[in-house]
Amino acid sequence: MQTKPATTAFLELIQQNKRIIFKICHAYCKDRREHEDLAQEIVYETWRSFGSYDKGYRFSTWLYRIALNVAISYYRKEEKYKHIIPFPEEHLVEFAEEKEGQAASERFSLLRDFIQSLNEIDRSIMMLYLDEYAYREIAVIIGISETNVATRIGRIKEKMRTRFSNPSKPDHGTE
Amino acid sequence: MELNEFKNIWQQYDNKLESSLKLNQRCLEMIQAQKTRSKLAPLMRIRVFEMIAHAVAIWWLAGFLLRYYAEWKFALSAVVLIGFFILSFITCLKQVIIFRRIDYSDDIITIQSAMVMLQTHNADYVRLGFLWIPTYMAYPLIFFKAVGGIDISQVGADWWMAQLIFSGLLLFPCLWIYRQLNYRNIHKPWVNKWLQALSGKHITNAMRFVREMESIKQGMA
Repeated sequence: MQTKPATTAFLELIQQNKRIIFKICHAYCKDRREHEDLAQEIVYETWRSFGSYDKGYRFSTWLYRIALNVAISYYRKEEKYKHIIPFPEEHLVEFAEEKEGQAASERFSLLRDFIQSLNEIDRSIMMLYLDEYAYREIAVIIGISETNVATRIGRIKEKMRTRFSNPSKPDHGTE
Repeated sequence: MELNEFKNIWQQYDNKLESSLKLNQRCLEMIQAQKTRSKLAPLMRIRVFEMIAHAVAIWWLAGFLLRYYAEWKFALSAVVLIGFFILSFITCLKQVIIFRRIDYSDDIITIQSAMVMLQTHNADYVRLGFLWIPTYMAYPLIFFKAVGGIDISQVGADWWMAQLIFSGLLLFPCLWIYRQLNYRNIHKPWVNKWLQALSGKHITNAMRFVREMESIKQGMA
């Protein structure tokens, strides 16, 4: 069972890495209610797994794995199963949405739309790539070879070139 | 725009994400106190219940087999149904094993494939249903014998022979369909249509996703 210091340690680590959760929520969900639901699920599942956290990994890498797994599962769920939250009266996570509004610019919107147009796996790869994770780390998080990561990033770059050289033609990924 | 420009935009976005997320410590402690279980737990309880039901059926049919092993029609029917229930039991057992291995901190391809395999359980029953078709006479034969001691094969030798021939004719097509109806063939239009009609669109979508995961892992997609 987790002890009190574990709660504190967990909160500190989440606090330090909360940007990851925020970015993933925005990449996989479009409306605000879903952002909070997903963030809640991510923190909930991270906390449940915290006892088995392997310190051999950077916490951010470990969190990325859990958060992306939860986000992809959430994204693929049917609507009626999306809002089963263990604590309906109280929110485990609260978003201050206006910060995202401040961050958004026209060019950022283009990038976000592009990321959202990719399939679930390429979306994860793209986010990790933009966060400057090494191919080796991306390979470990996704569960594919480094060569495969390089190939997929090459294809995403190609899609980007096509998309932004001809912005009127949106690319809807492989879904 | 160039890729480097996107990286810069992303970094600027990242830098502006301050105090966007607040955690409720009280809520976190409540989770700790309640020894939370996975949301998949109810699903697994259903699978365990199914396993128990299949085990009971196997146990009962084994008893029936012991009682009537000298009468080949009943013995053969019992063996066929035991085989059918063993397959159903194994299908549920595989699901429970997948469930126990799910750990969100594992890599994405492994976990997403496992999650989707849990969703496709209904399709496993659809497949098993095709295996059951050629053995359809085994059920009434055993049922009437067990309940009322009636041997329905006594209806007439011709009728019985016709049923056997019909079952024999169904055997190979049904086996072929059983082998075809799986996620590896979901790209075939007829497999997709059949599974969609028999188990729902969410199942075929899930199967396509598993196939995509496999292709990604093999570097083919």
